[in-house]
Amino acid sequence: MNVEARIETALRETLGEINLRTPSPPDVVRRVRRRRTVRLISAAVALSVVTSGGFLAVRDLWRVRPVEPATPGVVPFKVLPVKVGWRPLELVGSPLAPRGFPDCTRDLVSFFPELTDRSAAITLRPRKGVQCGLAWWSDGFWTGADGQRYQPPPASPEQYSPNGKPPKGRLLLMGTGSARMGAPFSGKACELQAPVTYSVQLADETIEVGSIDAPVCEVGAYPEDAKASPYQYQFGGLETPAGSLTPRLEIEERRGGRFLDFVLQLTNKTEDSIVIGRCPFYDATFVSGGQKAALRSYLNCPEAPDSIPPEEGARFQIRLPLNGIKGPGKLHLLLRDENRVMHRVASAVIEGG
Amino acid sequence: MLYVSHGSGLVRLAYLLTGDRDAAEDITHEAFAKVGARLFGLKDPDKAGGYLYRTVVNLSRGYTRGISRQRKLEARLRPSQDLAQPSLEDRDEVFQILLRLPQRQRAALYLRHYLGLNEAGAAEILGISTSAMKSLTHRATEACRTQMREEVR
Repeated sequence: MNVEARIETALRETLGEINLRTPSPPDVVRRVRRRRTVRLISAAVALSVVTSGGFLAVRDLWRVRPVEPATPGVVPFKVLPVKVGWRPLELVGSPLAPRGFPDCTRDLVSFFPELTDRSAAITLRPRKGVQCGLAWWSDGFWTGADGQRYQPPPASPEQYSPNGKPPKGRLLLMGTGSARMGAPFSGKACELQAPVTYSVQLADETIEVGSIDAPVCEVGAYPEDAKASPYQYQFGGLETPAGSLTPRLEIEERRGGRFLDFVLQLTNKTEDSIVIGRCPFYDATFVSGGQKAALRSYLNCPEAPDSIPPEEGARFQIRLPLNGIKGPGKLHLLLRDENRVMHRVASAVIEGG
Repeated sequence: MLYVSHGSGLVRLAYLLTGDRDAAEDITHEAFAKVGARLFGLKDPDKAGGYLYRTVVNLSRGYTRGISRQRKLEARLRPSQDLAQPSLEDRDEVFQILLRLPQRQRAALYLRHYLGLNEAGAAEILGISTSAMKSLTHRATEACRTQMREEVR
């Protein structure tokens, strides 16, 4: 993307949601706080003439791009980056949450504690329709009856990563995926007064997993300092809404070599409601002669409906920067998840701009 | 109609230039009051929109100059915090680069790239010649390009 396009994108994405809080001109006049009564009255009269559409009706003599009103029923466009250097799920082992997804908090996940007389573990599952990011490491700790605390040291993260590198970013929880973290007892935890309680940190909250009344603490039962593991992602299988939904492209507007606005419609032609679940991402490419403009992003699933009933659909607004390409060309879109391409759609030839 | 047509564009410009959401709102309202009061005296009422943008630029300059809030601008205007928006990698980087530009360069880029004005229209708002506008935009773009290259290294 050239510099000008990047500047425009940054301005639009950052400023696009800023609007005047005050809805109507009379409020404007009341809010101006100066002791200029005459000016206020003049302003009120002038504005009322303008808004009445009289001889001062505004005509844009110079080109001003109006603020696009949100098209009813269309999920607005947002770039939710797919991680640079993304590799298929089977290689990295766990999906990573895009930055736009919220942190997993207590209200977004369900807890499934496990306790034995010598260990504790917790499994988190996202609630229905939730997509959130979970920090790989949680500050889990044991607390004795007298309030003394012991926090097991973390294991080396490389041990848990299939590619041998420490995981970066947040773990993506959605659909039927889950994350499990365990903390074995250890020699040092045995020094705590029973019963001992295991707790974990989730976002900014401390959550009690459960208590062990009489932990097994025979000499030599554990290493002195058993390490705590990070969250282990458990693959719940693919939920591929795009696999069951029928895609269609609707070309809206081409602005010369700047942008191509289009809508991706996903329609449910089955007999059951489809939950969006795992969010697909797309590769949108505009090809004209030897030139190409491309965009990869997750769909704006956080703002999409949770589920799509039969015979209904969801429409996603997408804006593809054209990087100055002005000739006619075709739009190609791949809709995919981490493991496979689910759909390929292409438009008819779009005229040059 | 002026309010509906230009209100959002004006407050966004003011926000980019001042970094203060409340100040941006007040500056925009002040601009409407100033222009509204002079509307009967305008030679060409159809240019009211341009006057509004120029007024916002001037008021914003007075805001930042008078109170020396430039340092606070970068601390405040972080999209992921102020706008409760997702912080997007490339957008954050580029927007932070924009914040480090002088105010007039920011205004120039906003008028040219966000509003889509041609050089003559943007120059009229800033009260400079078309060639000066061309130079200003070029300097701003080159400053961004240089900083983008430096951040890649």
